[in-house]
Amino acid sequence: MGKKVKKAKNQDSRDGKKLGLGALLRNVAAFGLTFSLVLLCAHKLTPLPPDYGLRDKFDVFVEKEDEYDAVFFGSSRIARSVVPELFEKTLEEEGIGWKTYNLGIPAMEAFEADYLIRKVLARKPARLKWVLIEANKWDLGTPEFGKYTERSVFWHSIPETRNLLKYIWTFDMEWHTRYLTAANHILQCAWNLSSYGKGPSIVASLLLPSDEPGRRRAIFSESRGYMSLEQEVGKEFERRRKAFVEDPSELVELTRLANQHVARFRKLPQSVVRYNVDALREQQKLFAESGVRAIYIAPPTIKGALPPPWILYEKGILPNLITYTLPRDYPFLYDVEWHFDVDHLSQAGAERYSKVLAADVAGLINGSDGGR
Amino acid sequence: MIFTESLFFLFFAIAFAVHWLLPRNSLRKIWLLIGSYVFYAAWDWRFLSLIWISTIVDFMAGRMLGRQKAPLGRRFWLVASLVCNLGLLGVFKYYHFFIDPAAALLEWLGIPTSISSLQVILPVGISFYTFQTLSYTIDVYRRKLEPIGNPLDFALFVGFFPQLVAGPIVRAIQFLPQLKDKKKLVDVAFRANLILFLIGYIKKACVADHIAAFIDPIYADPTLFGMHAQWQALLLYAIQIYCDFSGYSDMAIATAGFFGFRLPLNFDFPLLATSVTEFWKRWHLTLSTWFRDYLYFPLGGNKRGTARTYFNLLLVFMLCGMWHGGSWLFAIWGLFHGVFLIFERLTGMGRTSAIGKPWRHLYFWFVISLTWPLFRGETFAKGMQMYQGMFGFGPATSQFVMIDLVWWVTFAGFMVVHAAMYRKFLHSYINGLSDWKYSLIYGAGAALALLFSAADYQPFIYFQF
Repeated sequence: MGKKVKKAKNQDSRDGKKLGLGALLRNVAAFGLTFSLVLLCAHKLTPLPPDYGLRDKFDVFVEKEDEYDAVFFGSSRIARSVVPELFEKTLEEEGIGWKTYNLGIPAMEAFEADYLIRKVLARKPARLKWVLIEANKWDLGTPEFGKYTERSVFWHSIPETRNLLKYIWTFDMEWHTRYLTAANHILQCAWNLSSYGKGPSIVASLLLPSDEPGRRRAIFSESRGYMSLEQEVGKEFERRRKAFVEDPSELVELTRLANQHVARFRKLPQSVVRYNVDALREQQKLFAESGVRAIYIAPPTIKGALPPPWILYEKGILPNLITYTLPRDYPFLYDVEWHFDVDHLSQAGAERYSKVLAADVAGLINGSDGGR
Repeated sequence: MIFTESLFFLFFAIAFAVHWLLPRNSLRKIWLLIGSYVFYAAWDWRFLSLIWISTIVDFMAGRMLGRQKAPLGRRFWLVASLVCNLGLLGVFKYYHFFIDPAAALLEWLGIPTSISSLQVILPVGISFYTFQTLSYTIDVYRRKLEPIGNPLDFALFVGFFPQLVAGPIVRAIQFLPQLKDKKKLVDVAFRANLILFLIGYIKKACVADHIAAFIDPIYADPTLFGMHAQWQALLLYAIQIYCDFSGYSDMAIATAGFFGFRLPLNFDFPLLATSVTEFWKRWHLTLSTWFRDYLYFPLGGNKRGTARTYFNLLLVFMLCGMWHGGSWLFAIWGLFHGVFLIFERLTGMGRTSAIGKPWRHLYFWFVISLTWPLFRGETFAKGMQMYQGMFGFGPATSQFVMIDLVWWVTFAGFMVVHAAMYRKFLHSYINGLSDWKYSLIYGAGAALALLFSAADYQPFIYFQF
């Protein structure tokens, strides 16, 4: 008899039996509970993407996060150009004793960097007082629907996606492009929050020893995040180097054009459009709350780079800005001799640039002009 | 829009909610029809016209078959339907199969031609819905089915979105009576449909799509890989195509179930078969039974002597192969199966346990693996390269495809799900759970399925057929 009663109770939502609203809500809640719980745990356990050593670089930073006074963020123009050890040495000569870490990652654009900055600040590193950020474009680049990479998805946190959506609404574009771009980013945010497809990487990160001494990891550990292009292994890098050595004319020509149009280059009003003013303001709020100060850097590059946001500095949106985008001011940074390819300095170039940058940062900290 | 894509879930949520909110069956059918056309238009709206042509022609043919008493008149309408449906299929699916050799011949004869330069796009699902509508006309012609009077019902039979693009091939006799039933939400077998959808999703997104990443590079250029990798790829391909197609079928059956419709079973653990004969009793059942009932039996089946039976088998399986695409590779693939069916009839392999079961499994896997290069090869040259590689005439490397943890996690997941389904562990366990416990477990299962999905949507393999 007892068995029969139990059976009938179990069948309340099955074929032909009406399910009450209470029972329905209870079932939906039960589903939602475990569904979100599993995804939440997975999200916490999801490692950063391995692209260009992003995961390793961040892990190495975390190992000694409380030792650093300043951290660099940005694309390969930071990652390949700033040698922390030499940077610190010059700073020390100017009376500033910093320990720094280069958290620049190739192909990192402003939204991704913003995410990483927030991630770092959320950890509240004990000594961190300065962040040095590449003044980079806030790109809305949208891959094909559903064709996302780990790298394009991982930084779509809720604050970052909100930033993106606000920016999309202020950006001048066709209405259908606007909606598609927004939908694409919302979907990537959903992928990120649900850790869609991340199960295998989570399992791998849990099962495989996390302190496996990889080559990149060793380099990041040794040189505090800096890895030159010469240290990269692979045909792609060899090809790039060879092509540049054989024909460096692109850099020469771009440099000549930049020098020729220097006045226009400096005053381009459209430079502001590609900078997300709201997000930059939010960044400043975040820095103020976290007790850190920011220096924005426009590294030495011409190809594909935006005019630096002088206007934003002049309007007080950016607190400090140092730019190296005018070849006339820093000829050696555009000299073929110091370059690995059109876009990037060689290791020797990076070493020299790190000292120049350090001197400028020291000048800024010691009270001279905050923007140049 | 594919079943594993987020857009589909949005589409489904709207379709489901509105369907059950509508007060009358007739309104629900209109809504489902609109939804089905939207679903198809998401692929390519231009080819909706082909569905409409098929719908109108077969509806009319059915009506006329109902009115005509004279055999000649009835035959006329049957032939009209066959010509129209097979004509569309011929143009859109077999255009290059017929035209390219003709163009080559003309060229060889020195007659300049540009007919083969016309690129005909294959409309997704055309083979599936054409066979469905044909089943209607033939059944009405055979007086097994009364012609339907409501064009809306017929349009929904042809265009019903869960099975529209990749089956199962639903026959009119199975579907049309369901349209007369008054559907109630309480009649929907939610638990069964939910679990079936999840299993289908796991098969497709967590198994088949992961395998694709391993074996696609091998099939992109088989000449680069040696014997070990070729055999490994074939074994994996068998699992991939099964999970891909049966996963789609599971999701289609479950999706239809949420709207109160029952679609026929399409797979019955075909990879556990012990012979080719048994394989065809477990693989793509709605296609194999379609060919059996509408071609093999009318040809005489096995009732006209041994020689005729073998001829019938070869012809039916060659056409069954060609149903998959206009290429000689598919025709040979079908013939290959036909030959082994005859071999098994001759030796008794298909019926008795002449040899032990493990050996019969081994025999089946060996034979089925021999057929996949024809199915997967895309071109004759590539198929041959795969055979060369399999039998040691490729590069002399003993390298296997690099398989990492992702693969092992995926494969272990597949084995667990498959074993649980085969042994019915899952069914009996789930049936014993109370609703809230079921919901708890389902929530965790759905989350895990998302976590272990391949992060790149792959189109379903059978969409190309």
